[in-house]
Parts: sequence; structure tokens; C-alpha cells
Amino acid sequence: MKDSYLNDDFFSRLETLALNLRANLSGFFGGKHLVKTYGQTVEFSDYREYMLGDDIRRIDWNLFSRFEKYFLKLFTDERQMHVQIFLDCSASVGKVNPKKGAYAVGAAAALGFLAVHNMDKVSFKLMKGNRAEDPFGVLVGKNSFFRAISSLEDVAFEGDTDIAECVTTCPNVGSNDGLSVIISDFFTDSNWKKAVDYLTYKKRQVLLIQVISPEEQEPLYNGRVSLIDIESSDLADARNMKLRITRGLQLAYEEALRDMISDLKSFCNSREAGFLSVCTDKPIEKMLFGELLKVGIMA
Amino acid sequence: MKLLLPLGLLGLLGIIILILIYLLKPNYQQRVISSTYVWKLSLKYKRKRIPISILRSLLILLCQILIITACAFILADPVIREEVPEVGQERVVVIDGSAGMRTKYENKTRFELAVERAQEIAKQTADEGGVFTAILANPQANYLVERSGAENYDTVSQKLAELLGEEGNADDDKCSYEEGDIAGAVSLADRILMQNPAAEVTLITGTSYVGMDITDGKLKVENVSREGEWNAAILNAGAELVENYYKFWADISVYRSDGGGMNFLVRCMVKGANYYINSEGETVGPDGSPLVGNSYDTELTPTSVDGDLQMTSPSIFVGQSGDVVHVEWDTSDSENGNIYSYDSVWIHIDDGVQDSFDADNNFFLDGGMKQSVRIQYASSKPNIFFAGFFMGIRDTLRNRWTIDYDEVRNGASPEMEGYDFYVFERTMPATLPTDGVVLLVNPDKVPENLTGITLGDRITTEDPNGFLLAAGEPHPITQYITPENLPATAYRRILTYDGYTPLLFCGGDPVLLVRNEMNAKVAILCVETDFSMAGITYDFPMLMLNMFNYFVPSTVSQYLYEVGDTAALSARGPELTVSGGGQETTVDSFPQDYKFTRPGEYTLQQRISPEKAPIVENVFVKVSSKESDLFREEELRVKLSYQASTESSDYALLLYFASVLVGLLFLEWLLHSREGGL
Repeated sequence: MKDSYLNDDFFSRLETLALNLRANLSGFFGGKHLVKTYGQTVEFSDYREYMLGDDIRRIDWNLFSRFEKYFLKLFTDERQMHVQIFLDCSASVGKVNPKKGAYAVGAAAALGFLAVHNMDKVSFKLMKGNRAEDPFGVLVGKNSFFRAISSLEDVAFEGDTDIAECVTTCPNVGSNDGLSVIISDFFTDSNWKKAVDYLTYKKRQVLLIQVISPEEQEPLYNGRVSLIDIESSDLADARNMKLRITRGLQLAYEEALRDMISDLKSFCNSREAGFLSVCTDKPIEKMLFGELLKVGIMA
Repeated sequence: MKLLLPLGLLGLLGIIILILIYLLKPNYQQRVISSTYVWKLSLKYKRKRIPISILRSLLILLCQILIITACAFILADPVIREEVPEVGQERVVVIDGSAGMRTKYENKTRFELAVERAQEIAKQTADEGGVFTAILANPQANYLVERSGAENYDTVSQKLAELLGEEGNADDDKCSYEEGDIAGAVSLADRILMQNPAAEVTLITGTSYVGMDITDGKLKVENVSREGEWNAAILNAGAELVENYYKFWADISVYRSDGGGMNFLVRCMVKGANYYINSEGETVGPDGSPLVGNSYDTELTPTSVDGDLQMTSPSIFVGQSGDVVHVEWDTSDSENGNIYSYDSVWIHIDDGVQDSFDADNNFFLDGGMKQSVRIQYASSKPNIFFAGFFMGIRDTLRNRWTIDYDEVRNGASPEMEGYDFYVFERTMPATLPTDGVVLLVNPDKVPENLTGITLGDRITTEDPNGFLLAAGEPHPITQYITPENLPATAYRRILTYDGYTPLLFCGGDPVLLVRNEMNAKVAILCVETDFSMAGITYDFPMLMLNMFNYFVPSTVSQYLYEVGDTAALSARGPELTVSGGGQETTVDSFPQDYKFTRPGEYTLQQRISPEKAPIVENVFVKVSSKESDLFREEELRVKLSYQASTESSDYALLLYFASVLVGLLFLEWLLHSREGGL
């Protein structure tokens, strides 16, 4: 049976949530995200003195009566953001462990739903090889979103992925207009840091979600094992390994994984990017309602 | 350390196999995973621990090699020979205590020689500072002294000296008249060997033993028989009544070391030829003269030897050692006096024949004169049931008793003395006789001297099936009978019965009472037999037979025993005196087992009542015919188990190796668990 998290019940529970994006993003007109710039909403924000060229209709005459100076009343602005979700479609994510792939798709769909639910634009970038495909284009509104995710469930996880190449060569990345999410297991030799740096350079809010399975978190096999990397081309591939897995090696594995996650986290912190590492044995709702809230991307 | 199974060390080849297993890389289990990226990273961390890992791997390999080595040694059955304590020479002497050891030659018995030899060995052992054990192989083998050191030599010497009687009186020797338990004695010696396998075991005997241990030299046998010993023996004898005249026979043999034969005189003498027991219980001859003492006054002449008629010479010739000659003395021959009854027959080898073993030179055929029992039946209305029964047992028991049966007829007065068994039916005498057993059947009154009994009403029933009887406490008189088979339509109630034992009940009332005391041997049956079908059932004669056997038991079941046999003694009187074999014993509870320990004639004497003469019976106890063969050869079937003690040591060492093995297995498991798998 195909693993899938995408159903009405799943999305209905997400309706109470909203993305909490940085306020210094500029975005596009017509959204619901409050930004630092002043706009035409009804929510008061600040006063400033009248300057030549300002619309005199916006002068607050009550203040003038009190201070005999002209002040303009400023209101907050609300913008539409563009949420770009880069989904790693390499074989390591979903070929060996379909549940892990479904988990990653579920996380991408959930973030996409939150975006369209808050009148943002969303686009799914499927990273395959060294390019990011955009099969659905920019999605606005729930109808187009649901049409897209029905296809998203059928995405094939194959080959390997160069995250940096995919992100940096992706057209229409935009600038200072929204959130970029990279969903992957980050078990790759490619320089994913370059991708984060690129997105940061583009002044986009960045979130990295690492999805790993319980077997990857704590391997249960031991003894003499020939480990075949699913992304390897053949048995002679350098990525394949022959190991005598002992308790000591298992401890080393756990330590290496721990250090790798720590490295991801510290790098993201240094770039003011969010980072989240989740295991697929944790319910996806807990990830959405718990971990993402902790990161601050959800409100 | 010594290896009992050195081939077990072939198990060490397992070490080579283990190393080969380590050298030959085992097949890797293939596993497809999402990515080996983290595993590659982990190798950097793993490298830091390589020294500890190598050390652990070496320890595991070392443990496995040691485990295989321990297994190989366990297979090789390692032992550490227990050091024999420095006690000098240890000797075990087994002295044969069989009857054959009483063989006397040149004024010394074999047993005396054996004891002297044992004393010599004990002295020699003590001089060497060794340990000495002496075992006497009597019918019940036992240690005389067990592992006694040189410091206790005086005690040992005294114990050995106590085996012999007074100077020249071999009868008091501790040597038995039965077969000695040589096998048991050797087994006792084997216990010593288990403690000290180096001990030297010597069996001193007159019998030629063969066996594996003797051939191997583990058991040293010293034969104390001498060239000049010989034995003329009466192996068996008997009497047969042929056409109303007795024919006596005996099996005679000779045993010599040179295998030769011998000619000697065997005499057969009869006591009380054609005597009988009169009405007073006295044994008298045809002319009425009483039998006096041991008057074997009638000597018979052999009538045949091994089937050949030999009418003239009483001398018997045995061709060669071990031959058995069958001699007969037929009294149907007028020359031998036409003997139709006798008291005792003494067959013996003539006193002039001086053989080495005299315990088998005499043979007595006792029991020739049957005891007489007189029975009187008195009834106002005689019942054929009783008459039929007594006449029946007169014929059935004629080999055991001479039964005189008298019936008082037509209102005649019954005799009140002179009988052994009185039966009164219906009409009771004024007083009861006191010199015999009295059975009262359906009494109409209580005789004056019958105390403790009170009669009640006569009880009858109209039921055609009558009353059913029920058994009281178990008793020899009621054994083998079923009371329900003795129905009665009328009985007389007994109100009190102090001193009597109730054996049968009818409707809760006792109907059969018994009392067996010196002057009161009384049974009361208050069922009216002529109103009952009891008389025609099997159970009635059985009840009467039980009663007869209970009050008039045979003293012994046979008149010929072997030394070591046990006889069940019974008596008609309160006590029985057994004299013979140099001792006298009085028995007062019956039946009583009595073991005959010496050969010879035993006298059994009892007194039934003060008024009557004592009853005297004789039985003869012979030695085993096997013991008469002084030069027999026997196989010793007991095997000395030298190896037993060493095996127990081996086992102890195996335990140590097994413990080490378990420890190594635990250590190996611990190292594996620390490492987390292979």
C-alpha cells in the first residue's frame, strides 16, 4: 500500500496554522503577511510629519488641533509571499524507504497548503540530478494547489541530486519575496551550503528540513555487511562499502550522524536560516505543530 | 596430569579450523540502504578506537583458542593420579570360614593353618609399618580388623587368636559349618582396594579357586589343603516303605587329593525296629518293652551297592575320588529283620575310618515313629459330618500322625481322660476333661469346670436360607473359609465369654469361641449343625482341619535339614525345648523360626499336659554335600574393581576443566557483547 499523508483530514487540521515569515520581506501586493513597510490597510501603525508631496487627505487634523503641526497617520502593509519548496527527489529520500519519501512529500504539501491558505504563492521545485523542475508553476489558491499535490504524490525518487546546482540554477528564485524550503536527507556530497548561501544572498527566508528514517538514525544491522548505496550505479561504485559493523562502529555512526546534524544546525544558525531534523517515526502532525512552531516558522 | 584418552587431543585441530575461518573471509550480507554517506563519516570516528578494537579482537581469538583447547582436554579425559598415602605395605587377608576348612590332618585343621598364616602376614605387615585388614568369610562375611596400622598389631593379633577355640578343640573355632561367603568377603576386600589400589589381597582357603582376578594376580590365593587329607562322606540318605517294609539307602563318596578310591565300612543301625506308640503315648516294642535311650541295637547289612547285590560284606568300595556310591539296606530281606516301623536310623562311617572331615560321617533318619493322636466324639445324636471329617483326616494325615478315632455310641458314657481331642455334641458332660483339646458343639449346658461361659436362649429362624455367619478377627482357625457359606437355622446364644476369642458371629452373637491355654484348650461351636447345610459345604471340613492344625500342630515340617536352614517350630504344649549342636533353647511362642548352625541330631521336647509324658522328636541337620568335597575347584565370580578409584579422580578433574570452559565462554560472550556482535 502506498504511503501517503495527503488527505482531507490532514489538510483540515492545518487550517488553524499560518506561516510566520520575516517582516522585512517585501513580497507582493495582496497578501496577508504583515510587513514593515506602510500600506493602505486599516490597522494603525505610526505617525510622521507631513512632507511636501504627501496626500493632504491623510493629514490627521486632530493632531493638528493639538500641536498645530501636520502629521500623517501611517497604516501597516500586508503582502503576499512566494513560498518555494525545494524537494529532494533523489533515490536516497524515497526509493529504499517509501515512508521517508512520503514523509518528505507530506511536509512539502503541508507547507504549500499553509502558503496558499494564507493567500501566498507557492511553487514546488523538484530537485532531480542537477536541476530543479517546476512541474506545477506558481500556485495561488487552494484549487490549483490540490490539483498540483495529486501529482506530487506520484513523484519518483530516483538518481542522485546536487542540491547546490539545483538551487543556484533555478530560474525565478526571486528576491526578498518569501520563504525557500529545502526538504532533503542531506546525505549527499554536494555542497548544499552553497545553496543556502545563494538563497540568503537573494534575501529569502530559508528553512531546511532534514528527513531521516529510524533505520538511518539507529541502524539495527551488524556483523559483516556489504552496504549498497541506492544511488550507486553498480556494485563497484565507490559509494558502496563492506563493513564489519560492531558495536563500536554503530556508536561511531551515531556520533557521525549527530555531528552532521549539528553541523547543519550551526550553519543554518549562522545564515539565519531555520533548520529542522525529523525522523519519520515521529508523527508528521507533531513535526508540524511542534517542531516547526519551535523553529518559529509557524504561528 | 595424565590423559586417559590421548586421542581426545585431536580436538586441538579445531584451532586450525578456527584460524582458517578467521583467514577465509566469510560472505558479506548484502544490504541496500538509502545512503552510505553517514557510514563513511563514521569511519573517521571509528579509526580513533582501532587499538582497543584490535586488542578486543585478539582477546576474543585467544578465548576461542582456549575454549577449543579446554574442550580437547575434556575429551582427552585428564586425570591427576592421587598419591597413595605413604603407609608402607598394605595387605588384606580373607580367611575362608567354610565348613570344609574344618578338615583336620595331623592334628591341625585348615582353619587353624589359615589363621596362623594370617597371623604371619599381619606380623610381616606390622614389621614393615604397613596396614593390615582381615576378613572372615563366614556365611556372613565381615571385617575382623579393618585397615589397622602397625601400632595396633597387638589388637590384630588378639583378634586373629580369638578365631580359634581352646587348644585342640576345633569345635569352638569361629569357622562355620556352612558355605562361606567368599564373594562377599572379596567384595569387602575390594572396598579396601578402592582406597588403596596398591593393597595386596590374599585369600586363604582350602578350595581351588579360579577366576580372572586370580589369573591376573590381583587376588593371591593361598591353598591350605594338604596332600594327605581325605574324606569319606555320607552325602544323603533316606527311607522308603516298600511293600510295608522299610528300605534304607545312602549315597556314599570319597574325596582324595590323589584322585584314588577307598574301601571302608558303612554301618546302618536301627533304633526301635518294629516299635510303636501305645495308648499311653509310650514307645514300646513288639513284646511290650519300652524303648530305652539311644539303643541302636539292630544293625543292617547292605543289600545292594549301586544296584549290585552284595549281601555279605558290609564294606563299601568307592572306585575313585568324587564317585558317588548308592547303598541300600532292604529290610524286606528276612536277614535284616523285616522292619515295618522304626524310631530312628543311624547310618555312619565306621569309627575305625579316620578321615579328615568328620562332620559328614553320620546320618540320622529321624521321624520314623509317628506321633499318636486319639480323638473321641460323643453325641446324643451322632452327626455324620464329624465322623466323616475325623475319618477323613485319619487317612489324609497318616504320614504325619497315627490318629485313633473313637465314637461314643448308644448312650455310653464318654471317657474323660486319655484322649488328645474330645468332641462333645449337644449333651455336655458334668465336667470337661483337662488332658486334651475339647470341642463343644451346640452345648445344652455349661460343664462345671468351664468358666467364663454363660449360655442363653436358642435362636431359630423360619428363613429357608437360615442365618448367615460373619467372621470375627482374623485367626488361623478361620483362614481360607468364607463364613457366609456356613448357614445355620438355629443356634444357642452365648451371653458371656470371658477369656475366649470370638471367631464367628451370627446376628451379632458369637457362635465360635476359642481358648488355647495350658489346661484349657477349648473351642465352642454353638450352631446346630443338623439344622444346617454347613456340613456339606467345603468350608466346614476346612474349619475343622484348621481347628485340628491349630490345637495339634506338627512340631516341624520335616526331619532333615542342612546347616544354615531355618525351621518353623510349632508345639502342642506351651513351650518347646530344642537341644543339639552343643546348646539348648526353650521356645514359648509359636510359630517360631529356629536356625540350625551346627550339624548333628537335634532333640525337640515338649509337654502337652502335666499328666502326660513329654513328647520327644528328633531332627537331623547335615552339612552341605558341597563341603564334603575337600578338593573341589570353584570359579570366583567376583571381580576386583581397581579402576573404580581412579575413575572418581578423573571425574573431579573434568569438573575443573568444565569450570574453566564455562568461564572462558562467559568471557568470550562478554567481549562480544562489548563489541556488539561478531
